Amino acid sequence: MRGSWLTVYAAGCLLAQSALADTALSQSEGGYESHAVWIPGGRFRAVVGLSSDPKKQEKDAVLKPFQMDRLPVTNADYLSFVKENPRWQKGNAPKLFVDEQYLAHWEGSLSLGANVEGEQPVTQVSWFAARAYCKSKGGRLPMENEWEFVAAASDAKWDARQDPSWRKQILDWYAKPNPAKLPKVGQSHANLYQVFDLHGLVWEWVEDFGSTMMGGDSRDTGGSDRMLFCGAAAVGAGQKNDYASFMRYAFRSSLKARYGGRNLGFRCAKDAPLNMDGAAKIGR
Amino acid sequence: MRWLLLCALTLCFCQKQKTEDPAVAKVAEHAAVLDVKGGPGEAKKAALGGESLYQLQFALTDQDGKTVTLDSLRGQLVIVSMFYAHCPNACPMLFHKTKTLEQKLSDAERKQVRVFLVSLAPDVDTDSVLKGLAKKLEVDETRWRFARTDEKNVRELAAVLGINYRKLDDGNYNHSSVLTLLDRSGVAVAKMEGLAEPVEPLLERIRTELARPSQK
Repeated sequence: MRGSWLTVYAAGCLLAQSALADTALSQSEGGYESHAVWIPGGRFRAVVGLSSDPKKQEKDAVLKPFQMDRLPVTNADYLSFVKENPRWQKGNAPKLFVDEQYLAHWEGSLSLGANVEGEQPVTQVSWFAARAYCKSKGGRLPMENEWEFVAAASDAKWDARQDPSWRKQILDWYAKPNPAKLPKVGQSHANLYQVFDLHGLVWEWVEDFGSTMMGGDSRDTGGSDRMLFCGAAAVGAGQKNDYASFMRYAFRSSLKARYGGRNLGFRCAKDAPLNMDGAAKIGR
Repeated sequence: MRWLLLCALTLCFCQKQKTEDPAVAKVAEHAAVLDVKGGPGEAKKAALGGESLYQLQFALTDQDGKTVTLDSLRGQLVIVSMFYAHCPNACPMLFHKTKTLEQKLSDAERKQVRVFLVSLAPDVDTDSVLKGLAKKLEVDETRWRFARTDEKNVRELAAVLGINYRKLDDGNYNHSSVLTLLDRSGVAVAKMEGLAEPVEPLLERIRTELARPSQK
């Protein structure tokens, strides 16, 4: 079992760089607002449904407008955060909120060291830490639906999840071994929302990461696990051929909130008014 | 074929969760330290290590409409879990299991144990719903608290307790049923994950904790 887990881990967790640097984002400056884009929200059918009855037609989730960071939070961003918030420095952060992986790759509590670059995405941060960071910026972690809504877009389609070549591209990323060194943020193609690195760089925390429970199907693990869950019937998966999305849900549902993975980072989101005057209006 | 692969994949994730849950490992390690060295000084040290749930500072409202914090339970042994009041299956079993566990304690032991249950559905589980539930279950309300707090805090507490949940479109929730035992300083020292598990290990742990001199 452990062996097969490791194989899946190697195939699934270790994302690789998308080597397309031609539309690389130039160094971004300024505060939260200039990092974020306004997303109009809309209807979204997640791969994992909300129906209590697997036979019932799934309804779409309706998302309100929100803002999302164009880039994952970087080591440099996170370093300034811990300078201002000593409670979250490596060594200070309470064990209730972080595990021993927390910022373990950094040289010190206030220094990245020679092997870690400021423009790489920060990883080895727990859900609690990611949440505290976003809160300090006046934001929050994206909800799983929000993250998936934006991540469904390719650079050509607002919802590319049914596009076989797009799917293949993502699955190829999942299958590639982990690069020895994580690439910098913003080196890939932006999607139609002008958001970078949702695929192909690191996995990302979402606010409700633990909300997917793969169950309720006759082919699931069955037995005693069923006793763990409430509700008359469990969630059935929607578009069953969207393997790439499904993998992300499965991965996220395997996480524990204190966990700090080597390829697990985050970006922030924020509630947004219905219209954003002066902000980049990007959307369908 | 592909679907089979998905199932295998899911299974692997689950397996990983079970065997290598760092929180459980931590609790086990912590428990081991306590068991070997025993004394009250050790329990105090563990709390200072930042594992206490009493670091969660948010306010909740109980079935009597009173504002409470988790910290107000300090000094007691507490069984913590989460539920929603209109839950058809697992929650009634969870309540039943907790009551069964309690009944196995002596009167003197039981007096020293608190039960703290937090709603996953603060939008519908109002104070009066919680009060109604407490009455319906005929629990000792001097020791049992049913509480609610806002959604963000619910998520944080669930994360700390390792409880996964998902709100479904019919208002029900999928959620894992986990009973967590907090020692007098708020550190999780034992867990019962899943309602099919026997209550005895938790019971034993309660007795071990009760045998320790309390810290004032």
